[in-house]
Amino acid sequence: MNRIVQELKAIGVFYIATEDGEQPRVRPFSSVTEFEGNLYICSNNTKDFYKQVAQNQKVEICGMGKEGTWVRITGKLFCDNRDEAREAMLADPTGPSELYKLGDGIFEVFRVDDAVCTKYSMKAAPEKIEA
Amino acid sequence: MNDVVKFLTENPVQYLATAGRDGKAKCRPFMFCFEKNERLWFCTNHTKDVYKDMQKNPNVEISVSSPDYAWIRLSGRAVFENNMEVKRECMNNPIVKGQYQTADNPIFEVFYLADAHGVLADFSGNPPREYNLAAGSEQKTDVSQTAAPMKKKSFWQRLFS
Repeated sequence: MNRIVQELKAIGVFYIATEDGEQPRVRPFSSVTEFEGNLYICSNNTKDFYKQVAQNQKVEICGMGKEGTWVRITGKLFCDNRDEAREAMLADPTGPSELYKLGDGIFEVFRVDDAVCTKYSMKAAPEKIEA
Repeated sequence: MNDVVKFLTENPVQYLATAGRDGKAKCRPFMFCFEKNERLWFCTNHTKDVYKDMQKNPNVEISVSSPDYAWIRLSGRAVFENNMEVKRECMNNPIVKGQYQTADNPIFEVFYLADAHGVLADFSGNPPREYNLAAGSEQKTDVSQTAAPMKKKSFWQRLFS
C-alpha cells in the first residue's frame, strides 16, 4: 500500500489547508484511499474547498499520529473525473458512500500529485515518507 | 467567546493554516495558549517559517475536531505584541517553558487573533454556531436563519469530507 495513504489512515482525522485569495483556510477530513498507487481524497463541488482548489491546487495536508508524531504532505490536487476513481473512493470504509454516489453531480475525487510527505517527531529528526 | 475558549482548551492542539511565502497553503499543529483580556493568545518563535509567513500575510485560520466529531474553524489576523505579561503567563505551560525557558527569550513571540471569526459545528442536528470575536464586542450570530440545520447523521456520516 502507498505509505502516505497508510500514514493518513493511521491518523484518522487530518486537515487540509487551502488558499482563499489572501485568506488561508483549513478544515478536517477523514476519507482517503489509494487508487492506481496514488493518494486520493474527496469532497463535493458545492463546497468552498472545491472553489478554492480550482483557484489554487497547491494544498498542504497535516495530521497528528501517535506518540508525538505528525505528518505534513504538500501536493497539487488533480480533480479526477473518472468513475473508476470515484468508485475506489466510495469503497473507503470511512463512509463517503453514505453521503455520495456515482452520478450525483456533486461528489468529486482528487488525486494528490507531487505528494511530498514528511513525518516529524518531538524525539527524532524529520523523515521523508516515500509513497 | 467562552464556547470558543472552552473548545480550544479541551482540544489544545489545533492546526494553524497560513499563506506560505511560496504561494502554497501551509498548515501545522499549533497550540492555543489562553484567553486574556478578551483576546485569544498563541505563541511561537521568530526563527520559524510560520512566523515569517504571518509577517508577510497575517491572515490565519485554525481548525480542530474533538473526539466526538465536533469541530471549530476560527479565522482572524495574527497581531504580534511584545506583551510581557502574556509571555510570562505562557511559561506556565510546561511544553512552552521547556522550549523557551524564560519569557524574555529573544526569539519567543506571542500574538493574538484580531477580528476573529469562529464557527463551531457538530452532527447534533443543531445549526453551526458562529462567533465574531472582535475584542470587547462579541456578537453571537444565530445562523439558523442563514445556514440550513445539519441533519442527524449516522455514525459513518460523522466523518469529514
